[in-house]
Amino acid sequence: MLAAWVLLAAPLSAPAQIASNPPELEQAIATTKAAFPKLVQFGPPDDTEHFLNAVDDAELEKLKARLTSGPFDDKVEAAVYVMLEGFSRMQGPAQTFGRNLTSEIAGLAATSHDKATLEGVGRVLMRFLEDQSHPFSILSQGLLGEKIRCGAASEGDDALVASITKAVNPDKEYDFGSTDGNTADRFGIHPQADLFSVAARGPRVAVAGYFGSVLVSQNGGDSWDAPNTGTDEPFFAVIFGPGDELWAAGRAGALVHSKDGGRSWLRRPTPFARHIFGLYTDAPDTVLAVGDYGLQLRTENGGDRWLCIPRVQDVILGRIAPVDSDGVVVGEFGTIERLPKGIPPGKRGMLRGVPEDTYVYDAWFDETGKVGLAVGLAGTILRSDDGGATWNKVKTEFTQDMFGVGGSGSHAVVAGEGGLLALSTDGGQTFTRADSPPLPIPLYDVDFGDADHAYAVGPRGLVLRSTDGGAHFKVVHGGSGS
Amino acid sequence: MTRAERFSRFFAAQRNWFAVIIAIITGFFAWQLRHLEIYTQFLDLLPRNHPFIKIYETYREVYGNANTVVAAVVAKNGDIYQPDVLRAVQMLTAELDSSVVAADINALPASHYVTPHGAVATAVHALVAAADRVFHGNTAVESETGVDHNLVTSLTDRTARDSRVELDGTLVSPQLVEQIPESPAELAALREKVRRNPSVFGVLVSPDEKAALVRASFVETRLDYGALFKHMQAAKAKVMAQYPVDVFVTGQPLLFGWAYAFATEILLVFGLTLVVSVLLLWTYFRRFYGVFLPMSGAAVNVIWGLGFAAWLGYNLDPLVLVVPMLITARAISHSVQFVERFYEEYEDLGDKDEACIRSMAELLLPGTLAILTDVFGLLTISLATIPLVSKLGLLCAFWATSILVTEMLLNRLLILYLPAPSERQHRISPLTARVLKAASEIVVSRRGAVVVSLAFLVQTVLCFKLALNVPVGEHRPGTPILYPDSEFNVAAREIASRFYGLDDLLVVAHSNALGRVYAPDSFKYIESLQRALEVDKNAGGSLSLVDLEKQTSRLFHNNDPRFSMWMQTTAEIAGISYLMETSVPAPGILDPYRSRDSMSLAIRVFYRDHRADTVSGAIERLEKFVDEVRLDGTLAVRLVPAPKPWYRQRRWLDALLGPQRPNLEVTQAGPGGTRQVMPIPAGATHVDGPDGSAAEVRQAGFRKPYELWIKLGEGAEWQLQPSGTWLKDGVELRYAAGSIGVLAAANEEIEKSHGLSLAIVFVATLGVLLLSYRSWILSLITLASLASGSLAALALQSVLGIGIDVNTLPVQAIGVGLGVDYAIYLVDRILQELKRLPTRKEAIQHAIRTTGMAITFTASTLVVGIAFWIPISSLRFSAEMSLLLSVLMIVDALGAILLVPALIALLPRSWLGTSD
Repeated sequence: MLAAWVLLAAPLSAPAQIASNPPELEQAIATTKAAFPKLVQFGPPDDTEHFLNAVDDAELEKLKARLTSGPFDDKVEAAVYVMLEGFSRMQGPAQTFGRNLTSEIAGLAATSHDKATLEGVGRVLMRFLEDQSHPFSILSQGLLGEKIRCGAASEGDDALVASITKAVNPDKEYDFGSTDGNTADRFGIHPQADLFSVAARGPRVAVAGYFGSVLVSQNGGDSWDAPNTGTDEPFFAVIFGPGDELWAAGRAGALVHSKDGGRSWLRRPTPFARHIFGLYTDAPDTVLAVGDYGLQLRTENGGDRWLCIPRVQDVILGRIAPVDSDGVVVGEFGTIERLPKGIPPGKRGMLRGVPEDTYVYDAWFDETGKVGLAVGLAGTILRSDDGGATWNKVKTEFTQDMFGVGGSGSHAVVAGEGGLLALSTDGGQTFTRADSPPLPIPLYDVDFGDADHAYAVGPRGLVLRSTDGGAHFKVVHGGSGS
Repeated sequence: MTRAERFSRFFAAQRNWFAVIIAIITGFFAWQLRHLEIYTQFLDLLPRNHPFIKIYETYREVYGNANTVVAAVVAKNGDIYQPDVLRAVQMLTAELDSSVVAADINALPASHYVTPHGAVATAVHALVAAADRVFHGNTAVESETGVDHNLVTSLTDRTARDSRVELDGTLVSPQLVEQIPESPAELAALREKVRRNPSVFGVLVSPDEKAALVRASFVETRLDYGALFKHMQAAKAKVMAQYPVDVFVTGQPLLFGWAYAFATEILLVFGLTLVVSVLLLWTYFRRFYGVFLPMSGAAVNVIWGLGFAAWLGYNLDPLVLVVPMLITARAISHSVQFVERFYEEYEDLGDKDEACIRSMAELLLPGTLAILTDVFGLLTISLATIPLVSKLGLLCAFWATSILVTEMLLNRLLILYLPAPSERQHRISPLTARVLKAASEIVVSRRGAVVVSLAFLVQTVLCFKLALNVPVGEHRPGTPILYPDSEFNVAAREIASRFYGLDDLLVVAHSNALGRVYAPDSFKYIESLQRALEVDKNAGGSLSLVDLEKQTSRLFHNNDPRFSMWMQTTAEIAGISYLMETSVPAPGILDPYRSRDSMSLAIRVFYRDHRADTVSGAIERLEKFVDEVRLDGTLAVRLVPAPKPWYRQRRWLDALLGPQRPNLEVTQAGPGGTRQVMPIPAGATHVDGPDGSAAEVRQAGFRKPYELWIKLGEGAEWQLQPSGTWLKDGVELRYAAGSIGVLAAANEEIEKSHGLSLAIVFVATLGVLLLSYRSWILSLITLASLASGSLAALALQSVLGIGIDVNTLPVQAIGVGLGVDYAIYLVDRILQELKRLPTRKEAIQHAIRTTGMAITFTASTLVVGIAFWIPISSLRFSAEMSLLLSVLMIVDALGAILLVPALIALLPRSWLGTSD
């Protein structure tokens, strides 16, 4: 047993000796020695590969402070490079420490609000990325793509955003667009698109889905319009803003804005191509978009400029439910966060007796702002009666995946796999199956326009409507109905 | 002495030489008959020059062909999630996947596997079964089914996988149904797995969950349609006997199988037609010669025709056998004209040889003329690019030409050699004579002639209006060859109503750059196409690798439905593809979706039927998409249709003028992503590109379409681009294969050929008539009669919804040739009588009473001979053809007997140079 372990470990503990370091590294080592003499303890000069022995904790904190609040210069950049490169050549816990440090430094740079810092750390990471055999190459790809790019976008450093986008997506040479954004409109695809999101306000209903589809009804779902949104990218979220505003967003950063209730749409591209799964708005021309890789983007001028708010954790963020004047965002790994005024960072709700890895898809709060429901994979229904501070699991007969929840007053409806629609009339304490057509397809979202009218959406343009507070649902669009 | 009479006398004098030559040729063809084969060759149905067929042939080996059998298992009670129903699916899958047809199943005749419904069908079937017992050859040998094991799909087959992601992030795809689940929990679990699987739900399991589908593709060159039919029918019976399910089987190979199953019946019906004809001949002539001459001539004619086919190595398709049969019927009809005339002359002269020479001389011109117009009609259909039709046209043209020898000469020879008939008196049917006398009196009166002419004018105009709407291609769901309530069509309906559909359109996304098709923009392009085609209400759904990748992407994201989208980088897509390939132990699981050379992906769109509207609608939509949405890359070279000049607005003229010269379009993506289109001026064939590359437009032959050839660099080989497009690094859509693509190509060709052959037949007929009569007015009168007949037949097709397709096109073209015969005989007779008799009135009346008699008789013989197909034939096709031809012949006969004389009677005196 031991012999086997030694054999396995042998090649790891004795890697091929690197003859000499590249000149830019030697240069950086010299700069670091001169500028931060106490930061790095260097090894024996003959071991060019393992040139780094240790890092002084206090000096490291000082360096981090330079990253957070400046000033940033060539010397800091050299020190960061030397330190991270040194850790990348170590094994086991030391390398892991190096990885975490890399991640942390990227996070600090992203939130530094300083172009020089972003560009400097970006250059270091870019160097790792370009060397495909570098232990931190893939790590750097992620950090550059998410954190540095997010920071650069929030600083308006479009050149850096573009250069990172090019570097992390080697596919760009093949990106000829493939469609002009009007294909779905021209070929009449919109009415049959898979629908992922529904928003209802009184008799106005908007549903959004695949191929840039936003279907709008002004009469509670009796008739629908399928306007051209100018994109063929899938949409995963649609919300009503103040007045006649509508927002929809989805794959690869696609986001559109309408100021006339969905008749005409403006493309408001986000700074880089990350999927958007949730939207929140509480003021004109203002929207928060969240999504894949913990994306958090906010605009206050209708999408002319985007503020990217970096997150520490890379979690998939889903829909955002309005509660009082805040938003509650849900996502991967049991994420249920209350965002004050809809602005991240938020405060995480406590899950009591609920596994931390619960995948949460959607949440809804009643008018009091106290009672909340959240739904997720494998029949998960969570309930809060303290405005989302703590959550408990609701016991039901259902085991299928739940993708949407919506309600009005004490009525709440959950939607899920296998055409499931279940109704609660007691503020989410108990659920029973609603009377709906037996559909072997998933339903992705549900929303109430008023106390009686509820809408649920699914694949192929399917919209179900209830006119009695969620007790009975009937197909009003798509499916076999049209 | 006229030339015709000189030839007749020469012929009578040299009768021995003629007899020897005819005997030798007949012997030769009889000897060739041993090579004769009757079977269906699928490739013969495809217009090989059509660009769709080129794509079909390019990808046949990669993505399967149009020879697909589709079988459905429908649970009698409840849904398919019952152990017994799943076992039935498993059993049927095993049967379809089987490479061989067992000897004991193959031993029985195909008709054994047919269950008749209704009293008439049962009686016919009993007769057929009896005939089969007597005549059926020994087939008790194992036969190959030619199934392509990698293209068998079924819920219980290894090709149906259940992909999921394990906790450690690995993708596993075990077989969806490895063992038949027994417990309710297992069955419910299977139901959930199926519902989540886009390549199974709606495709292999119906959305109502009451039916499961089994699909299998067959290699066309190794396929024995008859044996496969027996195999499937036996399998169906076996499964239904053992499990509480209904089984429905359909698909192109089975259709041919059904045609085989009815082959004996077709032969029996032909036989019956023969017997009826003999009886009619006897009833009419009551003379030995009246029966013997036409029948002996017909027999020799058949030997020549079939022998010619065998000599050239043509196979006879059972469904088009009706066409040669018709030609033989023409032979009989010509013979009857002669025999009738002979008896007339014999009664007059009393000398057998002299009567023969005179009747021969008098019928030589109209007979030859009539046959020549037939031959022209048939030759024009051989212009069609569909091998089956063009072969048939050539064969039948020969067959018809041979009537000149086998009837016209042989009949005369026989009379010359045989003893003189004992009765000299010419027998006339009293009823027919009375009717004809009345008719002749009507048409010679001025008012009668006007009424008749107007009636025909109204009929022709009405029929013309209707004829404009004749559908091309199949017009009804299922196959028009069989009745709607036939087993095959019931199965087709059942499956089409439960699943995405039976008929598929295959489009191939191809790129010259390796792996390029796996880029995100390519995936978006492919899915856009799928969704754009699915909007069509006739489309049931579609399937491509994109769907599978979307599903797998979702699996990798906690089953999050939002991640069921195309991935963002080529690396991700390639990664998922790799996982999908390696997660399955059986290779080839993705074969229906992608080519192994990483150059192409397949897009299959399923349609509920293959009616002509469905097919043309699908192709129209596809072409619009291909035209408007492109993924060209940095450099694109393609042939694009040039604007049509006014004389090309009618599609059929293309067939006459040859394909139109296309434009060459070169698109370059500039540095800023702009696109620059460089139209190539007409006349230029060579364009130089960057780095010594070049493009050329070539045409291989008059009827060959233009081809795009590309040279990639200095000294590189010229390469043919089969789709007429070359992209450096873009993604191109190559279309259209699958059953819809193949049918679209056939329909387009037929539409061209149809108009063209009708036009040529009319022009050629007019030419022949002009040459013979040297009179415009007489030629046009003859054509008028011809037009009223063919338009009536076309109008009937339009009303009954019988589309013009590979099977009906030849019948139409021959109908035109047939129609003119009667009119020619009558016009000729009137011309002859005008010389003999003092007035036009008398000439016309005499012609109607004599030649009109022969026309009435031949027409009625043919109509009675084929009319009984309508109630008894199991093939709807035969019944409809019989109806069509009956109408054609009745209208033509009426046209000849009423319209032609009426028009002649109305002509100003001076035009004919005779008095009233």
